[in-house]
Amino acid sequence: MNAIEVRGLRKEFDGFSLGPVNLTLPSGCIMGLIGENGAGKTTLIKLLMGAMKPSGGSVCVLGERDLRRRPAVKEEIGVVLAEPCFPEEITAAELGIVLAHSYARWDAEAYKAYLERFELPRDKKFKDFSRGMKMKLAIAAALSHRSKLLVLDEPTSGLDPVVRDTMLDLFFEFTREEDHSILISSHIVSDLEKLCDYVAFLHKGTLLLSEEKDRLLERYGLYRCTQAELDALPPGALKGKRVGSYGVEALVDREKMPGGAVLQSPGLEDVIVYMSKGGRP
Amino acid sequence: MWGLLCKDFFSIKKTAGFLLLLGTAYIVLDALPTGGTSSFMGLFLFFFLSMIPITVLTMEEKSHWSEYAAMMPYSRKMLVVEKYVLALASAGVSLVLYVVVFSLAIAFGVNAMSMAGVWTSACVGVCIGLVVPALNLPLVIAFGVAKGRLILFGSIALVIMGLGMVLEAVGSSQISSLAQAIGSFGLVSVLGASVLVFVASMGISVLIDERKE
Repeated sequence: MNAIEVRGLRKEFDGFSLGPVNLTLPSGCIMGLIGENGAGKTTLIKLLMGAMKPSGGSVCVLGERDLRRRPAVKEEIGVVLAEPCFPEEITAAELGIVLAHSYARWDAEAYKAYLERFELPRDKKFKDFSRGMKMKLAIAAALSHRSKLLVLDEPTSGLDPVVRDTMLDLFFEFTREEDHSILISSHIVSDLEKLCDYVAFLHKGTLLLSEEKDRLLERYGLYRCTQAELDALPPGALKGKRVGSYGVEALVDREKMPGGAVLQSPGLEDVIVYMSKGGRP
Repeated sequence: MWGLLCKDFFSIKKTAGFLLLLGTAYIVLDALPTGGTSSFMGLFLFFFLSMIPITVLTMEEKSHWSEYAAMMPYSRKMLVVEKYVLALASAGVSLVLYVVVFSLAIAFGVNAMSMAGVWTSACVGVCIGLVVPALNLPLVIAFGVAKGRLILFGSIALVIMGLGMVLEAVGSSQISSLAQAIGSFGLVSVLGASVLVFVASMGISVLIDERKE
């Protein structure tokens, strides 16, 4: 079973349109959603969660096609938003009570353990939390109702590297159960490279790629060459380039390259940066 | 829905506590010996607490709570209806306090008002507790707290101005016969009408929220 299936999903706004988006997150896997600010990542997450009405296309999350009419499936989805939106006057302990009355499968013990693990004060008001503490509280809440799917929008932003690493371990831990999946959006490509099995890349509302990370890294190569060699590349081979004073570095499709060309393995960040630049230098 | 009500309670417990204290003080002052009448000062509590759903919405707007709530296992409809349940609960709390304070005042011989009189005043209070949020909530849901309130106050001012002009044109004898006609409907009818306005407002708010997308 797939945790998420999206087909031809579109959303039109004045001055911005998202999609059509097609992506599949198999159950038990982690998908990284990459894109610059304003690429449409948060809009996509809202559409997936039924928090926004799509202009077209379909979404199926944990086997449910209509989250807007049947929100009960959200019991099984833990969400962390880029900006934690808890009421300012509420404390972590009170939030636990609110969520216990909202989620039938709320695990108060797990929540308490996360608060201790993240060193979060139980009785301090949310408005007095630092940005990092707010994110940690949101993650603790998302992990404490026995969800099968985590939808995380920039969950590690505002966290220092040590805490970020702890969070990534937690997410790994979460996917040890074979039916647990994660969709995570982040600017920090290195985090996603460590964490993800699948990568989806949104650029200005268009999904440029959605595939298995290892296959993606195998499919492309970095080609260092002269401008003349670049001009001689077969059509469709060039995916992106950077022209410097010492030559050209290009992201190319290995399958379309002539035999004998020396290619280096790119990192995920290379693929993303070159693809977003396209043919521009 | 309990989760949402708990969230509202934790968010406004300080503000609500202050309003409750203030409103109760007004009721106590109202229940002190007045020769068997009520000055209706005690009804302020109904008005104060009727503003609680709007106060909560102001706080939600500030914290962007609705974005998180949309990710929780609640439908949009439930999120709107909950604000009306909160309004009902506020009216209920006001009613209980009002009746209890006056009953004690009567029992201890401090106030000579009859229990029927207490219930009549309390009915007026409940009408306030229902109509105030019923008028406010659809506008606030449609336009946000700041704009919604502004539109409401503007509309009320226009209605009052219009009524003033109409009444001036009609003359005082016809006004008193109109008042008598309204009075003959009885308080229960006014309460019934308030309930209808409240229910209609809830339906309108749900529709507005759906269309807002």
